[in-house]
Amino acid sequence: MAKLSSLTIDAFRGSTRPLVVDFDPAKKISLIFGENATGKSTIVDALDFVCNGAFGSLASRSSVRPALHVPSVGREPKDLVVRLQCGKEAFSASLAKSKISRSPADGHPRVSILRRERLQVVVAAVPADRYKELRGLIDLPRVSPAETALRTVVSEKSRAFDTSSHALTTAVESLERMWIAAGKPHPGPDAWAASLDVKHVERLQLRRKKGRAISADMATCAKESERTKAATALIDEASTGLRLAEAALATLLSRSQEAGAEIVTLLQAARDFLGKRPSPAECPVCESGERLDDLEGRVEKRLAAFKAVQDAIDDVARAKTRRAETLGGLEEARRALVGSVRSLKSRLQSQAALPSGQEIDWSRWSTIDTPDDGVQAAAAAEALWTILENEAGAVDSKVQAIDEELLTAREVGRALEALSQAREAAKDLEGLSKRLQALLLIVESERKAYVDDVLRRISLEVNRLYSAVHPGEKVGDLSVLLDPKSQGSLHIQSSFEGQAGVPPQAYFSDSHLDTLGICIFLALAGLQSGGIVVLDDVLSSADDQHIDRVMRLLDSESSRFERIVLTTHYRPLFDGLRRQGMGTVQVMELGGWSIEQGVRIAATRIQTDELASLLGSFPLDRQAIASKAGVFIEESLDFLTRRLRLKTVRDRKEGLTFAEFAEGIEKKVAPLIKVILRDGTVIEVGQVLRRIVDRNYIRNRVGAHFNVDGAAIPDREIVAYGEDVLLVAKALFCPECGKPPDKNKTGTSFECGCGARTLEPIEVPRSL
Amino acid sequence: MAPVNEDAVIERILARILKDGVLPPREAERLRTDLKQGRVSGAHWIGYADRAAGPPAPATNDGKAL
Repeated sequence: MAKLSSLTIDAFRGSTRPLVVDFDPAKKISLIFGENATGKSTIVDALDFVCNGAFGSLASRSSVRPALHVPSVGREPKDLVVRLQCGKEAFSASLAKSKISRSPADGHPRVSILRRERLQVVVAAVPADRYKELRGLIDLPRVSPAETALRTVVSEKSRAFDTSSHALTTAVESLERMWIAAGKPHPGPDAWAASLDVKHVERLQLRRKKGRAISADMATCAKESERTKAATALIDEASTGLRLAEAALATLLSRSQEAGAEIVTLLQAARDFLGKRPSPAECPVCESGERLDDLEGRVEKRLAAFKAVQDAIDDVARAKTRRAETLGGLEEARRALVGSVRSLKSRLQSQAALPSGQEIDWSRWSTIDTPDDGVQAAAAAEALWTILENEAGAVDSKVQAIDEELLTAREVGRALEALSQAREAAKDLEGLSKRLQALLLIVESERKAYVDDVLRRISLEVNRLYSAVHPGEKVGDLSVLLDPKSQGSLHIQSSFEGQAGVPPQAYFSDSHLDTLGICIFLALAGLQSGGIVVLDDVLSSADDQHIDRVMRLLDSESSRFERIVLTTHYRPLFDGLRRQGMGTVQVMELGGWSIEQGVRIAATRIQTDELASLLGSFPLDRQAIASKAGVFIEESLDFLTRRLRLKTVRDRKEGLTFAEFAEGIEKKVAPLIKVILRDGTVIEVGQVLRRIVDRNYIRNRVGAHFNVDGAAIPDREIVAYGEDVLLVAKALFCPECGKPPDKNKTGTSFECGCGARTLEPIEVPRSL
Repeated sequence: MAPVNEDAVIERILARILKDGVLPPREAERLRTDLKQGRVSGAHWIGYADRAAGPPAPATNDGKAL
C-alpha cells in the first residue's frame, strides 16, 4: 500500500469546515499538538471512521447516538465525508441511512488506535475481558471451532459410553436374577443362559406341540364320549316312546272291532286308489257298479270314524322312525369316539407311562385298533377313555410347565441379546471415545502451545519495550498467561522490587501502568503486522524523562509501522520538538476551535528553520532575527550552565537575565566547551558563545526594546549574531532526537538521546 | 514478531496424530484438508475416528462417512 498522504474531513464532528491533514511522506511519526477542545479526537475518530468503519470515541459515550451525532453541528449527514489519500489510492467514508458507507468496501489501511481512556484496559481488565482484547491475536479461526466441535463430540460420546455401560450392568444383573430364580442350575448365569439355546427351545416347542395334541385329543374324546352318552340316552327315549305308542294302539284296537285295524287299512288303500281314479266304473273292493257316486267321500267319512285308531297308528310309525334315527346317531358317535380314543392311544402309547405316571398295558386295548368299528371297539374305547380321561389334569400341568420353561428361555434369550448388544455397543463406544479423546488431547495441547508461544512472544516484546522506557527500574518482567482452569481468561503478572508474580495493577503507579499500556499496545500492533498506529493523547501522566523515553522508543519502533500518529496536549513535548525538530517526527499543531472556523491545523515551523529562514530573507527583518536569536541563546545558556554546572548564580529557578547566564561562559572556560558530532566534526560552542555574549546588545537594542542606538547597528552584525546563535542551537539540539546532549553515559562526555552528538567537558576543572 | 501462522499449527497437530497413530494416514490427510478449509464439525471427527477403527470405508468429499 502506498504511504499515507492526507486525510480530508468535512462535516465530521468538530470539522464544521473542510479540514485537510497532510502527512509528510518523509516522516514516520506525525505529532499533532493541540490544547483541549481543538480537534485532536476529531482527527483520530476520522481515521477510525474511514479505516475501520467505526464511530470511534463516540461509540463508547453514554447517551450518544453515533450516527446522529457524528455529523458536525449545523451540518447534514449527507455533507459528511472523510477521505484518506494514500499515494494514488483513495479511501472514503460517509453516512448512508445511519450506517457507515465505505468506498471501496475493503482493502483499507489497517489502523490500531489507543485512546487515553483505554490505556490501561488490557492491564486493568478482568481476565475474561483481557482475553477478549487479545482474542484476535490468539484465536485460531479454523482450529478453534474444530476443537470446540471435537470437545462437544467427546463429551457426547463419553455420556453415551456411560449409558451403554449402565445398560450392560443392568443386562448382567437381569440375567443373574433369572439364574437365581431358576435355582442356579449351572455354575453361572452365562453357562446357564448358554444351555438355553435354540435346540433346547426347539425341543421344548416339540414337547409342547405333542402335549397340546394330546390335550386336543382328550378334548375330542371327551366330546365324543358325551355325544355317545347322549345318543344312547336318545335311543332309550325313542324305544320307550315306541313301546308306549304300540301299547296305546293295542288298547284302542282292543276296544273296537277286531277287524277295525284291517278296515282302516283297507279304507286308507281305497282312499289312495280313489285319489288316483276319482270316477271308477265299479267298487275296487266288491266290484259292484252300484252307489258309485261320491264313493271317495263316503270312504273319507268312514276313515274319520276311525281317527283315534289312525292317530295311534301314526304315533307308532313316528316312534319307529325316531328310534331308527337315534340308532344311526349312536353308531356315528361310537365311531367318532373310537377314532378319537384310537388317536389318543396312538399318541400316548409311545411312552412307557401315562402323563400322571400310572403304568398301562396297551396290549389289552388292541381291539380299538381293529378296522371293525363295531360295538366291541366302541365298548373298548369307552372303557379306555374312562381310564385316560383322568389324565387330563396331568397333561395340562405338563403343557403349562413347558409353557413356563419356554417363557423363561425366551426371557433369557432376550436378556442375552440385550447383554450382547450392550457389550458390543460399550466396546464400540469405548474405542471411539478413546480415539476422540486422544485427538482432543493433541488438538488442545497444540492450540495451547501455540497460544502460550504467542503470549510468550507478547511478553518478551512488552518487556523489551517497557525496559526501554524504564531502564534499570526494578519493575517489569511482565508475563501474559492463559488461565489453566478457565477457558478464555488471561492473567498478567510482573515483578515489582524483586517480588515476582505480582499483578502490575496492584503495585505500579498510574504513570507506570500507562507506559505499560502503551508498550502492550505497541507489542500487539506489531504482532498484527504494522499498519497505522494512533496514540491518542496517551502521554499525560508520565514525567518529562519518561515522555522523552517513550518518544525515543516510538522513534526506534516507527520503522515497523506504516505511520505512528501521536496526539498530545502536553506543551513541553511540543515545545521541545519544535525547537530543532526530531528526525522522524512531523509536528503539526491545532488552532483554537470555533464553529465558524472548525478544526484548524498547520505544520509547525521548527524554530531553527524559522531563524535560518529569517537570516536568508530580504528585506531583512532585523527585529525578528534579534528577538528570536535572543530567546534561543537564553535557552541554550540555561541548558549549558545547568548541565556543565558553570558559575551562574542560581538563586531562583526562573527569570535569570542574559547577563546572569553569560557569567557562566567565562573566557577561560569557553575554549573547553565543545560539541562533537557523530562524524567527528567539532563545534567550538564555547568560543561562539563568547562572541554572542559580546554582541548581546543586539538582542536588547534591536530585538527586545526600542533604542535609538539600535538603528546604528548594521545588518551584517545582526546576521552574524543570528548565525552564531543558529550554530549553537543546531549544535546543542539534535535534529534527529530533538534533545540536547545531557546524558552522562560514558563518564567522559554528555550525549544526546540518540548519541548523534556529545558535549564536553563532563566537568569543568575546579582550578578554573 | 511473526504474524499468526495457523497452517503451522495444523501441521503440528497432524504430525502428532500420525506419530501417535491416532489416525491412519488416509484419515489424517482428510483431516488436514478439512482443517485447512475450516470445515471440521463434530460429524467429521466421528467420521475420522470411526473409519480409523474399522476397515477402510468410502467417504464423501467433505470427509463425512457415507
